[in-house]
Amino acid sequence: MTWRGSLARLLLISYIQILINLRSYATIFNILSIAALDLGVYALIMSNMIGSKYEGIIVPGITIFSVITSSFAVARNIAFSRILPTGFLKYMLSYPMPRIYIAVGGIICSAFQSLIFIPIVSAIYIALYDRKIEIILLSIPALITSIVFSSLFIAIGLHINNIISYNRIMVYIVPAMSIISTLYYPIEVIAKAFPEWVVMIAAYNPLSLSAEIARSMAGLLSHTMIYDYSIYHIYALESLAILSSSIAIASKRLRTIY
Amino acid sequence: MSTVYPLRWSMLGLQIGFFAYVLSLMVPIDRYIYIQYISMGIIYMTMYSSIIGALGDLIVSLFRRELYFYIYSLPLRRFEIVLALVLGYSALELTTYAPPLAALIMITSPSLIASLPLLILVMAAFAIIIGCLVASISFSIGKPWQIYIAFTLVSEVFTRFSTAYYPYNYIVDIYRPLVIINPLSHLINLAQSMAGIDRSLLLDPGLTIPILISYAVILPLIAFTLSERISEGGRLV
Repeated sequence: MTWRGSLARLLLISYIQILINLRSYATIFNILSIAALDLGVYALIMSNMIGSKYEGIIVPGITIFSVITSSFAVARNIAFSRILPTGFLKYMLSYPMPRIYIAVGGIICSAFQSLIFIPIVSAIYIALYDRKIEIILLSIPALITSIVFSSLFIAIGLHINNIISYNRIMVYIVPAMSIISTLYYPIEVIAKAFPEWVVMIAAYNPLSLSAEIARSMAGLLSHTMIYDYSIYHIYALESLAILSSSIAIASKRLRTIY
Repeated sequence: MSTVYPLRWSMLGLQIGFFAYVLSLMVPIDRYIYIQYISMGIIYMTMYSSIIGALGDLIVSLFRRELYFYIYSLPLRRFEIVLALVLGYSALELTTYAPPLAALIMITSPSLIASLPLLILVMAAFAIIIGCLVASISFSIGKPWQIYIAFTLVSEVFTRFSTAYYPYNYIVDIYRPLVIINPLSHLINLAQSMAGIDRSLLLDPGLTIPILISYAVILPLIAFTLSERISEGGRLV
C-alpha cells in the first residue's frame, strides 16, 4: 500500500467515525452545555469571590476538562459499539486496512470533536470577561489533550467488556484526577496545603500539565514557581508515552477482538 | 455491602479533603467556616446528581417494555408506583449519604450531634423533593433522549445556580433571582443553618420556608398527576 493509499484509508475511516459520533447529538449538546454553564456561571461567580486573576486559572481548566469529557464520550462510542448488534466497529473490522487505522481514526475523530469546543469557550470568555484570549494557542494544548486522552480511553474501553465499569472511570477516576491537579487552583496554593509528594503528584498529573500549558500559551498566566520551561519537555514526553502505549495496546486488542 | 458505597465515600472524602480545603485557602472567608459551608454543599450536590442519574434511568426504563413490564400488572395505581420508586430511591440514597453527613457533623460541630436525626430528616425531605422533580420532568417529556438532555440541563443548571459552593453575597447580581427560586439553594441552606454555619453566609430564612413549602406541594402534585399518563405498554398517552 502506498503512503497515499494509506492516508486515504485513514482519512476515510476517520470521516466515518466523525459522522457516526456526530449522531450522538444529545451527548455533544450535554458536554457543550456543561462547559458553557461552568464558564458562564461557576467561573464568573468564583472569580467574583476570589478575584479577577482566578479567571486565568479556571477558564483553561474548564476547557481541558470539557475536552477530556468529549474524548471519553468518543472513545466509549468506538470501544463499546462492539457489544451492540448494530455496532459500527464490526463493519470497520471488515474493511481492507490494518486495524491500527481504526484506533488512529478514533483519535482523529476525537480531536475533531474537541475543536467544536474551542470557539464556544472563546466566545463565552470574550463575552463575559471582555478580554482577549489567544484562541489558536489555547486550541493547541486542547487538541493534544484530546488526542492523548482519547487514545488512552479507547485502549481502556477495548479491554473492558462492561459499559458500566467503563462509565465508572468517568464518575470516579477522571474527577479524582481532576481534583488532584491544577485544573481548578494554582500549584502554589496546593503547595501551601499539602506535603511535597502530594504537590509533585498534582504538578506532574497530565491534566495539570495540559492546563498549565493552556494557561501559558493563551497568555492568561505566566509560568509559576514550580513549573519552568522544562514543563514543555515533560508534557511532550508524558503525552508521547501515553499515546504510543495506548495505540499499541488498542491495536493489539483490535487484532484479536473477533 | 456494595463496592459503590466505599467508592462514593472516598470520592466525597477527596472532594472535601482536597478540593474544598484548597479552595478555602483562596476565598475571602475564614477557612474553617468555608470548609464547613462547602462540605455540606458537596454532600448534597453529590446526592442530587446521584438521584437524578439513578432514578432518571429507572423512570426512563419504565417507558420501555423491559424489566419493569411486570410492575404494570400489579394491582396498583400509577401514582402509587411512582411514589414507591421515589421513596425507595430516597431511602437508598440516605443509606449512602447519611453516614458522611454524620461524620462531617461529628468532626466539625460535635456539639450539634443531638440535632443529627433532624439533619437526616432534612436530607430525606431533600431526596423526596428531588425524586419528585425527576419524576415530573420524565413524565412531562416522554422520549428517552429528550429526558437525558433535560436531566443534564436541570442537574447542571440547578447545581450552578445554587448556593452549594458559594455564599449568596458573592453571586453576581444578574444570577441572584435564579438562585432565589432554586429549591436546592434553600434546601442546602436549611441544612447548613441547622449544622451551625455562620448565618451571615446563608439566605434569609423568611424566604426559605415559604419557597420550600411551595416546592414540597407542587412537585409531588405534578409528578403524581403526570404519572397517570403511563399507559399499559409503558408509553405515555
